[in-house]
Amino acid sequence: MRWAERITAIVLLALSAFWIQLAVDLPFPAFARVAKMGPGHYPIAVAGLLAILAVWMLWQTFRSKKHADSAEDEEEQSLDSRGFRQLIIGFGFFLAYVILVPLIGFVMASIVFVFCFIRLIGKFNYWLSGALALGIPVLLWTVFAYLLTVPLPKGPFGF
Amino acid sequence: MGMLQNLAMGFGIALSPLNLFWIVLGQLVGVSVGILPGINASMAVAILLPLTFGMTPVSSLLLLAGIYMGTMFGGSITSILLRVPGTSTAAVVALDGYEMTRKGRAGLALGITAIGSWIAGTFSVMVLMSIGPWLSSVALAFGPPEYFALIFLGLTMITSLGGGSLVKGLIAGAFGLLLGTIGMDPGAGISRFTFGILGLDNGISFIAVLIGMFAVSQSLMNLERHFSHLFYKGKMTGLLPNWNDFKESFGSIIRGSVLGTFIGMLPGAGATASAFMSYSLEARISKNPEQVGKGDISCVAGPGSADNSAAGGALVPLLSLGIPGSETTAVLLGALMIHGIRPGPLLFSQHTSLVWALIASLYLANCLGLILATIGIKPLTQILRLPTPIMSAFILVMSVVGAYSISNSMIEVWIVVIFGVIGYLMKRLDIPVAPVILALVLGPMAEKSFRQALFMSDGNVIIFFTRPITVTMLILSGISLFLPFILSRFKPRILPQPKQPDES
Repeated sequence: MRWAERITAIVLLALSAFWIQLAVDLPFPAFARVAKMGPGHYPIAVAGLLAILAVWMLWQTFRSKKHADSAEDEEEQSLDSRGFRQLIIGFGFFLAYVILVPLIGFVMASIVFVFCFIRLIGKFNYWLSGALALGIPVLLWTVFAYLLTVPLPKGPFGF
Repeated sequence: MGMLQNLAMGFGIALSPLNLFWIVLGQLVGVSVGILPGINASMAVAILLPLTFGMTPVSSLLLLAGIYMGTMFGGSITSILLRVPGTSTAAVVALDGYEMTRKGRAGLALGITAIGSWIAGTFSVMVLMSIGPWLSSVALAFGPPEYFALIFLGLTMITSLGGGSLVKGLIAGAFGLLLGTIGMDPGAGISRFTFGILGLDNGISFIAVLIGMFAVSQSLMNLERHFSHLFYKGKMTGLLPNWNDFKESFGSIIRGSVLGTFIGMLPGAGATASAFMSYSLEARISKNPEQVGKGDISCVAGPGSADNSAAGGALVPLLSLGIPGSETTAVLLGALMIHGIRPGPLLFSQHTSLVWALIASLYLANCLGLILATIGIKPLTQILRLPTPIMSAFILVMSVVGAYSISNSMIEVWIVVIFGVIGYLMKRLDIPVAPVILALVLGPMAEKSFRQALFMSDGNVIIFFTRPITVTMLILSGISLFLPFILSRFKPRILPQPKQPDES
């Protein structure tokens, strides 16, 4: 946990620095100069605040050693290897699904995703997985594409 | 028009068959969502929001308000029966509620929570009715400096949303402010931090961030857990309290209602805080201190009422000032904005029928909750049988289709994926996600009013220190930064650490 917090703090510091650098380069149109505050000032203030808070968190990880260690133990307990594997596989499916949607259409991609997800993560039998893989996308397609007329991405088969 | 006439008009709209259907549906969805661990009100509203795009503003608000009120009670059901709080607000009801179940008084615990919720909800709606229009008429006189101070006050109250660590709550808030700087700047119309992506010019889509942070991240959290299925097998008798039980808990219900309403009105404090404070109050003044933590009915009735009245109280600043006080009201703000309605002081005068229909529907939702509780608790707990993987698959597909329908493009879907991962990492690191949402909504509003104020004063910041209302609110902001320290003093030792408001 402590290491994760340190890495987060450093990532946030880098993000703040990046934001400030972009904000400094923003133009400051003449008509807005009355207020003496341009487009870049507020983002610089916010990024500065984030940087200060990140340093505060970093400092805390070094200060409260004992407390952080006990939190680390809890953390280890809650994420075991099986849970981690499930998480990675599940997220992998989801990522693949989002990539597939514009390529093969919403309905096809959803059928594949729901089937893999329920069969491989939920360990349900083929029948139930298949029924849900057809049912959920068709239900959502009916609601969104048919009733709400959202032009959902279509695949090579026209749906 | 007087208040009663307005209310009658509101009931007239809310009682039309179609609108009544939406309220009932919302209530049913809300109670189900409250029962299911792993889904909370914000998440349900976030993924259902795209469904309301095609509805009229009134219908969609009634549906969302029904969900909002239903969740509060639904969470208590599983807390009491199974010691599995469906929502974080109900965590504290589990303490004495489950003990009552173990003593065979499950029905009574549920009954008193239902009645308490009803009384509390009614009380908070009455407060909303009387304070809301008054507050909005006061706020009509607000200029940009006052608005800035008010929003700033709301932002500082984010600190109390954090639950555990102050610095983490603040980091989440600052991150939300940073995200809020993406898009066109409010003073000069310059594109900022859009990286050439056209879809980002109007700012990062708030709904997409919401779906990612609440729905997708929670589904990822659920993936790593192994759920064991729990069912309530005992008998459920004696749902209605007898006169003695009612007499014993009536004081707690009233105290919970008042406390909840006023804490709910404070931006940032919310339902969870009010339930915890009500519990600690009841535990302190209990006539049978030895019963506290072992099934004391007042310790169930108080917090069970407080969370419902806080839900109503949180609508006061939202409807009259346009400032959301909790993450769920931030979602409702998003819903209003999607339908082209800008909450704020003008809402009560410009959208009179909408506001009063909403108020009437909250009251109806409350009564429906009581009816549902008396006839449907046992069948409703069967919802727990729905296996998590099926639910997760459904939520993920729904997130994708919902995000896509925001602007019919994949950009929003990718925002959902990215913020799903960020939200997951934040939850793993115990950084609360609710402040991100609040800051993302309030940040651009704060910058806009700050810069408008500076335009008024030719760039002189003294304008914020010469107006009495502004100064008062800035002083209050200073105090509220230290609110978490004050609140922590009220927490009795027997309480578990409060969970994050977004967690279930």
